[in-house]
Amino acid sequence: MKIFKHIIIVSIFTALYSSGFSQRLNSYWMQHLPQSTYLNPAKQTGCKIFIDIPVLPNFDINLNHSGFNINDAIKPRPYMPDSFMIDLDGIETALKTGNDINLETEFSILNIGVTLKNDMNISFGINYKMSEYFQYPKALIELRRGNYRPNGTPLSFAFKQNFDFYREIYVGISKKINPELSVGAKLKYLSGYANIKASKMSVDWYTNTADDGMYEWTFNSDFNIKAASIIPWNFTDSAGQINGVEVDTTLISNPTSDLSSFIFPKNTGLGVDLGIEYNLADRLLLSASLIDFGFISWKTSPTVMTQQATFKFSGLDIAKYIGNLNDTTGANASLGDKIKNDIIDTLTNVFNPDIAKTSYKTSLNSKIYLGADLKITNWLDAGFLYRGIFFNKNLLSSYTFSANTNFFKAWSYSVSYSIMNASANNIGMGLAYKIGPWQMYLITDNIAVPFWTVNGSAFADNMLKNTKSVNFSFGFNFLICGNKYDIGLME
Amino acid sequence: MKNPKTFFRSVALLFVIILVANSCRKNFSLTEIDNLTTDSLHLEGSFAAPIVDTKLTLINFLPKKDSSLWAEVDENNLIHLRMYYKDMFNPTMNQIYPGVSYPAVAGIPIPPDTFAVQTDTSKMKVYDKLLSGKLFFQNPSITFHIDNYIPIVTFFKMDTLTFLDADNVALTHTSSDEFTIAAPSVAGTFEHTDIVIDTAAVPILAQVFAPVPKYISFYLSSGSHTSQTLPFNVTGDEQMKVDVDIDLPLDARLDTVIMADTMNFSITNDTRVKSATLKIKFDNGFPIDGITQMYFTDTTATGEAGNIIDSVFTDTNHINITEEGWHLESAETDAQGIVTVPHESDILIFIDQTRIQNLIQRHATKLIIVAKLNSYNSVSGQFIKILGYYTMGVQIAVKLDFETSTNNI
Repeated sequence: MKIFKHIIIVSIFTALYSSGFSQRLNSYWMQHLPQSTYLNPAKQTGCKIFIDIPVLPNFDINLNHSGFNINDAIKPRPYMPDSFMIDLDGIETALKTGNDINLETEFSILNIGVTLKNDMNISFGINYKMSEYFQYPKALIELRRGNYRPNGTPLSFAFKQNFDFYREIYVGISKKINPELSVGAKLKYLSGYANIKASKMSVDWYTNTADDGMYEWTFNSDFNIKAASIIPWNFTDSAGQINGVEVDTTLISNPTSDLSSFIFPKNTGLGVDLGIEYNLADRLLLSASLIDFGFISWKTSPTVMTQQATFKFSGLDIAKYIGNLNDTTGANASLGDKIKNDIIDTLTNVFNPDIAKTSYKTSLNSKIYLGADLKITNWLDAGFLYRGIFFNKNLLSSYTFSANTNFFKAWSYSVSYSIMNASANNIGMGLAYKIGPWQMYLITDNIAVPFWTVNGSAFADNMLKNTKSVNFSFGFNFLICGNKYDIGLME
Repeated sequence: MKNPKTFFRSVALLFVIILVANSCRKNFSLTEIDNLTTDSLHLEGSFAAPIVDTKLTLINFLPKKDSSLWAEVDENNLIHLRMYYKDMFNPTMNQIYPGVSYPAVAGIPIPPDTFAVQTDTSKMKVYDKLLSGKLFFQNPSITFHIDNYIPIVTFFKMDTLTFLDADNVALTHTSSDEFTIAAPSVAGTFEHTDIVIDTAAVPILAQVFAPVPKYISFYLSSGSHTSQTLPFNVTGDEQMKVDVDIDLPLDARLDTVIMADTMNFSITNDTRVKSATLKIKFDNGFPIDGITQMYFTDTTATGEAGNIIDSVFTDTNHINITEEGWHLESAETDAQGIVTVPHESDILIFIDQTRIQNLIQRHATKLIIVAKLNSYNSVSGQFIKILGYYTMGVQIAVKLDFETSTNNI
């Protein structure tokens, strides 16, 4: 009991911190970890009650970069010991046409799971989710070689962006239909707080390199950017021209000024999680799920900006400036100012976007999981998991192979190898153990950063320099699994 | 699971050993980042850009507010070059009639007299950059605008018209034609008379203008041939103000006109640019062909252009480059001298560091542009018209091959 007191005191003390939960790949086959049900609602942990509340400290960070790692970017400087330089060639080689920087964070307010009779589990939860998916083009680094390409290929600056901040309130159910088959689902009511989505944000820069060409530049732009926020904002003047961003921060400084908008935003949506698992001959577990399939309709301060244009620049029309400078711009205008102003005017007219203050819908960054887990012995199994994240019509795929063991009532251990973020050196590890009703878990899909943090070896340094992922989950759950702590509600 | 506790203990121990093996990291240092220098980022590539794409008319190059040279377009779209010389000839009454006792009262007879004077030489800006050759105008004209305050003057005469070339070699046209001018009958007023001297009055005027003169001067005279009675009292200071207005309609013929200009330039020793490729394309809408060369020279002790160090248009493998330079062919015209078909010409100039270093080491400081111009079908004596809507399409583009590092950006 003394231990429990300490844990409760520590838990209350750490309630100041946000509670988060993990969606690490490594947790998928950790069957005794309730967080695995977030990846597939058909899963059941075998425990009767699960509570994840903010008083229990949880920490979760997930940052991925599919572009380059430290080893790609920094190389020893020739002939200079202990000196390093940025290797632009290495960076360019490592980059692909589109490169992703993804950040996901989830804050839980309350998550409850209760196992009822007949192998049925119901759940309820309130979570805040924030995600940032950003894609940048290889052309940014290619620009160091200038714009001239003998074959005339363009420099394509294609960016994508999706920022979501919303709250989900869900109810879920999972049911073992028979000893082989389990199904589960969650229905989510979504409330959106902020969104910035750029499904198209590209400029292609062509340079005419034909023999009879005059190096003319052609810019093809295609923009489709949407943004909304519960905080009123505006970036156009009364004439509809872009004129700086103005943000009304009243709601931030004084949330009680419009509490209903703060707690119940008008940006509503629906989502579902669906899952299924099938146990084949009690040896091979097949698993599939669809997570965060839904939409949010954004209605507060919505702005939709679209723009498609082609601008060809073949050189300055200097005839306008010869002999006419004073006539057209006034006696004090300089040639440079006149040319600059004309270029700005031209670009403003050509690239003037259409701006509409209309509501819009965005889909969530849905994820699909497909997995198989082969029981090797009674205490060891080997798992495979495919995850695909849909982001602005892109599919970000990852593949994970793991060795897993699940024992006692709520203990799990997993070691994984993942191919993700264009990187094939992700060694992960997950551990969940339970003492009394408290389960602690420690999970990472890439041990490089946590390992490097506590280990000063060259091996740790080398792992860090080759990694493209930083993710680490740590937390506590309140679980009641066995008869010893069964409070008698279920049977 | 036979002995899961043992297994878990083993795994947990392994987990801890892996994490804390060696020593716990005291700080977040990484050698690569701690010792990173960013002063030698190497950049190499090619940057290509269009610089100019324009259509120039002749009017673009002529000042609009300079009375000594400007251009006008007439109702037939023909461009006229105009030069105006104010107060070219300003004789007073006591200069024309020195035998009269001033002041003189109305009613007294004034005997006939004449005053003649050689005007100052005035620069003809239209020929400023022309060195030699012949430039024939179909219908040049000289108009004398006379404001006459002298009551009894009756005639005005351009005795000689003299053109001087750069070496002060004169070409003089002599005329005996007299023109009647109006005289005021009321004190303090003047009478205005325009006297036009054109090819109708002086048939050889076109030939007179032809040898691209640098300066112009007149020998003018004015007075009366018969005795006149003063209509009002005079002081002798009454004046005749004569302005000269030269009109050169560009209905003309150019015969091997050489024009040149010299300008200073400086070149910096910048090795970041390995080479430069300059593309130039002309769409010649003017009925004039030109052979152009650009020379880089050093400077003499007196500040003039000295030895030729390099020439720009030297690659005779290029279809438009001859031994003399770059040949830009004329647009074609019809029999009236009006352009029917423009002519397009392009050229490519390659400059590398070897060439640039040669200019630097030999102290190239002057750029001389020399052009030899002929109008379309000039050899057969055809005149061409320069109309206001004629354009010279000019496109200039450049490609720079660079190699640099952040050390010298």
